[in-house]
Formats: sequence, C-alpha cells, structure tokens
Amino acid sequence: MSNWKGIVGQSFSVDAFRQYVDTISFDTWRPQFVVLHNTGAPKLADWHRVAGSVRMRNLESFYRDTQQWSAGPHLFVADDVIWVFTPLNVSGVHSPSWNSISWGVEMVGDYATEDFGPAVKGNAINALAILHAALGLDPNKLKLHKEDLKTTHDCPGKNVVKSDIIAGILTAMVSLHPGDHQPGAAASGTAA
Amino acid sequence: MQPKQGRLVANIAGERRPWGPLQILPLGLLLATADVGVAGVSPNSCPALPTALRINAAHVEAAGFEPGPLIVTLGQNECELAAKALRAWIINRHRQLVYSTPEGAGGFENEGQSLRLYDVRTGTQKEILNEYYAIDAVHEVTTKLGRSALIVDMKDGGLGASHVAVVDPRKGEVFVANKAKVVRGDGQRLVLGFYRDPDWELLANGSKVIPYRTKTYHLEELLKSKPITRRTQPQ
Repeated sequence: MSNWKGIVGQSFSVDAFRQYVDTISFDTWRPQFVVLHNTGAPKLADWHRVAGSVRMRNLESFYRDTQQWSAGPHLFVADDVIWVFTPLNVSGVHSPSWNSISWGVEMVGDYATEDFGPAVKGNAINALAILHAALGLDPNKLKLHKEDLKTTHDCPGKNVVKSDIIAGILTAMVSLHPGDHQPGAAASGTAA
Repeated sequence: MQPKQGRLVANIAGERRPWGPLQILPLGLLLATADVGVAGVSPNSCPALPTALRINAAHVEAAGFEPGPLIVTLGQNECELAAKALRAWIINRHRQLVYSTPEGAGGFENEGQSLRLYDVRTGTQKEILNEYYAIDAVHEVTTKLGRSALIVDMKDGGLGASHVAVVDPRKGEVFVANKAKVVRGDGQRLVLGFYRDPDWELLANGSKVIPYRTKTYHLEELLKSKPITRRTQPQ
C-alpha cells in the first residue's frame, strides 16, 4: 500500500491561482518541467454533471484506493476554474518516466474527439504560465504525456497542438509579469 | 504498450518470459498497420456461423494507439471480425481468438481496455476481461488438469506499473495482481514479483530492479475463483 500524499482539492480563478502559487514553498521538491495531459474521461461535455468538489473526491478515491497510488496529477484545469489536486510541492503520479521530476497538469476533456475550446485552453495556458514563472522553468521544455514512451495511450488528443501551447505560455508569461525579461529567450547580445 | 509501426508477427512463447517451453502453447501475436491488406477494400463481416473450423490468421489494422479493424482468415476466407481492436492472439489450437479493445472500465485517462473471446466453432464472441489498464500481452497456458488459462500482462500510463490478470476463457477474469510482473510460470504455478512505487520509474528509465517480494499462486486454485466485474471509474 502506498502512502497517500493527500490532496488540496480547492479551485481557483486564474488570479487566485497565481496568488496561491506565490504562497507555496518549494524547499523539499521542485519539478524540472511540466507534463500536459487530458482526462479522456470524463469528457468536458460531462464534467459539470457532477460538482467539481465531488469530482476531486472521486478522483482521490480512485487513485488512492483503486489504483493504490501515492498521489495523482497536480492540477485539473476545467473551463471555469483550476483545481489543485496533488500539492504542488510534492511529486505526483501521472507519467511513468517522469513522475519524480515533473508537474502533471490535466486538462478536462477528451481532445481526440472534443473541440479544444478557448475556455479550457485559456485556463490551461494561464495556469502553465504561472507554474513556469513560479520556478523559472523554460516553457520550451514542456512535454505532452504521449511523448513518454512508457505511456499506454494518446494523451492529450490530437486537437492539442504543443507549439500553440508553448507560444501561448510565453505570451501569457509576458502579460503576467510585464517588465520582466522575455521568458524562454536565449541570452544574447554584446557588451557595450 | 505502444504498438509499433509495420507488420509484426511475434511468437509470444519466444518473448522475454521464462515460461517452460513445454507448458505454454504457441501463440501468434499478429499486429499490423493500415498499409497491410488491400488498400481501400474492406473484407466482409465474418459470417454468423462460419463453415471453417480454424482461424488461420489474424491481424489488426491499427496505427499507433488508434484501434482498427480486426481481420481474420477463417479457412481460406478473410473477414472483418470487429471494427475496433488493438491487438489479437490466436488460442486453443486455432479454434479461438482473443482481442483487446479500447472499451474498458475507465481507468487513468480512460486507458482501460477489454478483452473479447471469439470462438470459430459457434461464431460467437463474449467479453472475458474489462479492466482499468491497457493490455500488453496474452499468454495461454494449460494446467495439469487440462484446463486453459490466459495470463494477461497489463500496464497503466500513470505510475507505469504492470498488472497481471488470470482469465478463465469460460468464466472471465478470475484474478488480478496490481503492481506486479510475471517472474515465471508453468501449467501449475504462477510466480509474480511485486515492486514498490518508485521502482516503476526506475524500470521505465531502463534500470534493473529486483522485486521486493515474490509470491507463488496455484493456477488451478485461481481458476476456481468467481469472475471479477469492474465498476467504471473514476466518475
């Protein structure tokens, strides 16, 4: 039996999520990059049939009791809010090759069959921008779950385009932190 | 489990498992991509009651993780047995076939798969396993009392753990062990090795890890168990 790490189980708007992340101390564990997922099931079309708080409890029960994992992914990004599941300062369970070194971000939906609409996409890009900015991570190192050769399925679906997500994160990071240097840009230039 | 591109015809008994060569029946794992077969021409659906009594060949026209049609050769005739399959294994002296489908019991990101059994003698098929995990391989063994059992290797795409099920082709799934791999087996015993959670990432990255414990199961006893039914999760 694994030692369950617990869940946060709280939802945030983009602004509230940024404030929440600012309060977290990353003394004991810090990821090197983010792995992006989609839930597959439930689909986005079905997500609101059950209250978000109940979804979190059901997911906790499934990962802890049925799968007997020590944790799950870190975030579930819906069309309305960002749910924090596994605490962001402990390792999660979401991608076989990278669990100890990455954050796992789930987007609610099945983007092999559903339209990857602006609500989930916007929240996901903003959440990812906040995470990358918090630890100074390079958005170009973002990975999709299906890039892990040890995974079993096509995640996220084909409607999620990695280059669009990375471009969106870079843009969002600039607007979240105006005046800072351009994230992801290589150091260049000549001394005066 | 990532299906490879190109046609792969592998004998399960020749894979990595240290099964006793006399205990395991030869199985064919037949996997093919969409470039196999006659382009643009789909075979007819298989007849309700086939006249042939032998499944001579089978292949799945799947690409990557996407399921595809399962084409079987009954006697001399090709036909489509299922529209959405992932992998197929011929068993029981070419009289039956099992195939995996993407419709399982949910699981992490809906990765769960099911296993269906087709019998050419009756033309019927039924579900014999419905799980939270993806199906990697199926091994057929015959017990000392002559009963058939299917050992099913499964995997999840979150922790990356392996899971082992035992299926009675008549009853369905009768046993499952989580976070375990087959160490060895024969028609009498099944020895499983169990791993701790951090071990799976080490294994995924190519490290050699020894199971923290092994346990021996008696196949005849496992086959006496009641069938396992899974509730779709998570909700």
